Amino acid sequence: MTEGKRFSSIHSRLLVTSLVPLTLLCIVLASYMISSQHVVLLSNLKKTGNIAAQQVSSNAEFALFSNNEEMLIDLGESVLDIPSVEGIAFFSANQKSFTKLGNFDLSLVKNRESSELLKPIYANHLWYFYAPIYQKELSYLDYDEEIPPESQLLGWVVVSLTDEILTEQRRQGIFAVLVVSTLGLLVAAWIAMRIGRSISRPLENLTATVDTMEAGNLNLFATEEGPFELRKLASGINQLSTSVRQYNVRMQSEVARATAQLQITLIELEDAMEAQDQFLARMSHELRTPLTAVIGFSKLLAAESDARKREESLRIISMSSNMLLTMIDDILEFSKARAGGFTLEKVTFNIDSWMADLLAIHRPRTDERGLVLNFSIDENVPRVVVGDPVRFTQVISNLLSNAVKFTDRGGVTITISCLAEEAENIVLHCSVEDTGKGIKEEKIPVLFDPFSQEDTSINRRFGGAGLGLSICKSLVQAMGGEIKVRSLLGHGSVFSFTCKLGVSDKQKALPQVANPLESRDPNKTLAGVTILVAEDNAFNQKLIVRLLNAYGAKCLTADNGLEAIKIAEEMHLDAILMDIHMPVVDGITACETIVQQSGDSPPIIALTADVRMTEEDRITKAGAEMMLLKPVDEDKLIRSLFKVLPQSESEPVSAGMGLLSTVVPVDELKNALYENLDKLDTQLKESENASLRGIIHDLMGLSGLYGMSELRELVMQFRADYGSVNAEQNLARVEKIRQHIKQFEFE
Amino acid sequence: MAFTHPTQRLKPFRRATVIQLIGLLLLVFTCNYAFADRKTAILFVASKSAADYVEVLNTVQGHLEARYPQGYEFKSKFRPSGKELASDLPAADFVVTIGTAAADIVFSVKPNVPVLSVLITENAFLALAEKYYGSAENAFASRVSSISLDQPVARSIALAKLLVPNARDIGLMLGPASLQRQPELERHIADMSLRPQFVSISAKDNPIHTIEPVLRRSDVFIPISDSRLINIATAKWILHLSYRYKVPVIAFSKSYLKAGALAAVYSSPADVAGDTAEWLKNPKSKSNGGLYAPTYYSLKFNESVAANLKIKLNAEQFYRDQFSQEIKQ
Repeated sequence: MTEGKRFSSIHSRLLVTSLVPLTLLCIVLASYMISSQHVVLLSNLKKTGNIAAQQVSSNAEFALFSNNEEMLIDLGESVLDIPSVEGIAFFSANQKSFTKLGNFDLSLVKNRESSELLKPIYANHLWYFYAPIYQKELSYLDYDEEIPPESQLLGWVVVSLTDEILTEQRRQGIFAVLVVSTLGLLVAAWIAMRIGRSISRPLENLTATVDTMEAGNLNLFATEEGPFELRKLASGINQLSTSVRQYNVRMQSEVARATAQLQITLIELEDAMEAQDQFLARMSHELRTPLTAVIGFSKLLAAESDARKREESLRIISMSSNMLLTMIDDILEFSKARAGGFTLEKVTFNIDSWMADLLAIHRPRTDERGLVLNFSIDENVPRVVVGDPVRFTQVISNLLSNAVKFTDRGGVTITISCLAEEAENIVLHCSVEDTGKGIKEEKIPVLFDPFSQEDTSINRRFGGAGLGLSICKSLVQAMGGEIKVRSLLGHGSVFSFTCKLGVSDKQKALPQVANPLESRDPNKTLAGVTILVAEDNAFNQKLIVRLLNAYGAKCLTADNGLEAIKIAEEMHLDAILMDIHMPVVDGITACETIVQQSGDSPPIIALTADVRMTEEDRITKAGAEMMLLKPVDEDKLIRSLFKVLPQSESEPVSAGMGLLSTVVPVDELKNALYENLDKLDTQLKESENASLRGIIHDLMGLSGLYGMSELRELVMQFRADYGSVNAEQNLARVEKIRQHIKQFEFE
Repeated sequence: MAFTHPTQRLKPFRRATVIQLIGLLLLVFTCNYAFADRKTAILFVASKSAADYVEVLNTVQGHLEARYPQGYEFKSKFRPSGKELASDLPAADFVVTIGTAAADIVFSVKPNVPVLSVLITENAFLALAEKYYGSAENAFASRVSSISLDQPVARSIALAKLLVPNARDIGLMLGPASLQRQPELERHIADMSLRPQFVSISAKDNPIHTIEPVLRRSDVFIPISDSRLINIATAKWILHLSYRYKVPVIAFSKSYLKAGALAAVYSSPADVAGDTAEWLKNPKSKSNGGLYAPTYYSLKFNESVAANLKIKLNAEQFYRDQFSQEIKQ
């Protein structure tokens, strides 16, 4: 241990801290005691001398007055018996007569002034004490009225005291003080060492314990010993170590839990990624198939000169495009759900009517599969409600479609009941129960997750993107409900959901939103209406133009926004279909310009493939009446046009059998239908699914004519689930449609 | 019928005699009445209002009032100024001075009424009489009297003989004022079958050296009261020597007794008052002044001293009785 360390330890510091002041105190005290003792001894000596002198003086009056030397000597000898008294002398006031006894230097007391004699004189180790001897006069007279005479000084008595005893006593005193101080110091040092040790040792132990704890051994406990503060410190360290230990355990537990959670999340993520990869692969395949057809047949179309083959190519391209559209619709729906939910409409609708349509759509399929389709609705369920009928029936349709898809025998039962009824709202409970193969219990929790199907074989067997149930869940949540499933493997499943709908207080008086399938008015025409189609894509442009021409509209075309602006400036237009993304000048700018340059600008319907809401906001602010998604849905487009066109300029033409019936003969229609069905057969046989959607789309368009609503339902049903059944079943359903056409009696 | 007045039937000389008798009777009655109502006014002048002085004053008044309840009118003054005293003097029939200072004040104004000085030593009276009247005789002529505080030495000698019956040599200290009494005292002592041992002392003498030889050969020692200076200068040393040589001292004052004397014959305030009252009651003594020895006296013994000197003391009354007989003899 170095010098610095030795004196920096608490033990050493305590010793130094206690001993240094103690030593100083001892020195000061010893000095004080010696000094005090000296003062006391000297004082005692002086007192003794003074008393002796005073006593002798009071007794020496008679002897001195009578000058009786013998008596003085007697007196003096009596004083000499007092310790320290070395000598005594009497002398008269005039210092003429002296009587001396013992050790006495008369020269010291002779010829001194009276004032000098009042204080003791020290010389040659002798103290001389003076006392005056007075003759005290007393009257001894009765009734004496005069002042008593003053005392007269007779002389002096001087007593000499030696300081040898004083010196000796002083020496002894110093010795005693030194001995006591030394002993005191030794005892103090011993106590300081004990105290220092009692503090330093527990501190060293504590330090060692803390070092050990610091090294990682938190199981060690500090010994609670020593003074209260150190015991408290040790207790604090123990509590701290316990806390740290507990914290470590908790942290380890947390880390383990988090790790496990992370692993689970990782697994889920991997699963999700895998599902997504599978989905993407599937989607890629599904998208690639029609796209390949579109690209391939487009090339053939360019090179083909034969009109029949060109038409065939166009039909296949159209069918592939519709397939692509359906898939993209699903994906867009899902994206919309993921992006922030659906925007639900709030309209009054009749549940019975919508459910009837829904059942009509699905019934052919169930019939085909030999399944029984039951539907029941409780009496207490209000029939006219407020909500989004499309979304409501979409959920039931999805669940019903799945139920039919996975049920080979038995049937499917749809039940609607009222779970709760409030003043303005009702909570409906809808369930779709099937007697299908059921779902494995472990798959139930992930059933509503996107991109997940019970197993990949389902996709291979039944098709689909695996987004249906996820979309259902999102829709139900948007409607303020929840969706559940319970299933027993091999016995079937029950999918149920709740949703909150408004109750209309005018169950019958209010106009109800018609089923679009029903409300479509084919008797309306666009004849006499001039419409500008601003579309950079030539195919889409031609498609829209042909479509509008088919409705009797006169069409002008523009390949970019600038052309559209010029045409709108120069020509009279009844409406404008404006693609947003165009070269030169984009649709939004063109829209703004057209609206601004003309105070009476025609209504503009924007077209875009972008589903972002921001785009809709921008084009609406620019002046567009509405926005439609591409590929353009014919029905929506026509309905939208009718909606925006001024009534005076869009005189409805009563067509009776429909718009096309005025231009399309029944035979041609039948031929067209048969032709499409043939194409359908061909495609199904050749497994050219890419063209199916276009053909089905054409079929749907044709089937809506001449009031062939049943045919339309069959086609819609086909379109809805042709992907989920095999080719043979599809061929049978095509044949059924064909038979239906044959049996249909055209008016 | 005519009536005759009774007086007409008296003879002329008889009528005059009757008238004279009636007039005489009226005069006698008037004088008696006048003198019967006249109170004797006594003015007391005291040196101070100390207890002893007040006791003398009150005791004298008590004695007089007891004898003549309506006969005296008292007025008291304590150390008055000359002017104050002058205003009171005309109304006074007698002036009694109590203490030396009071005598000094009253003598200074020389009142025309009889003056009696008490509580004053013979030496002090004589000194004041000489100072204000020229001589004691002049003072007496001016009706100034004094009852001396000093008891007659014969009483001290008689007491000494009673206390120390075996005493043969009796020492007496004489000062300048009492030195002339030595022959008288010598005869008196000799008459008592005792040997006198006189010591004369002056202010210049060393009292110890002077007194010691006489005291040593005396069986009992009596200091004769002298001037204040001699009394003070010798008292302490006489007592000291008395203690040293075991010689009893018969003192002339109570203070002396307390300081170490064996016995004392002295005048207490009551004694002084008794003598004063007696003097005031005696009309003959008012015609001329004089210096009178005290009639009353007090005896006191120091039992501690007696014990140390191995003197057995009897009851005070015994000594008083014996003392009276000794004096009578």
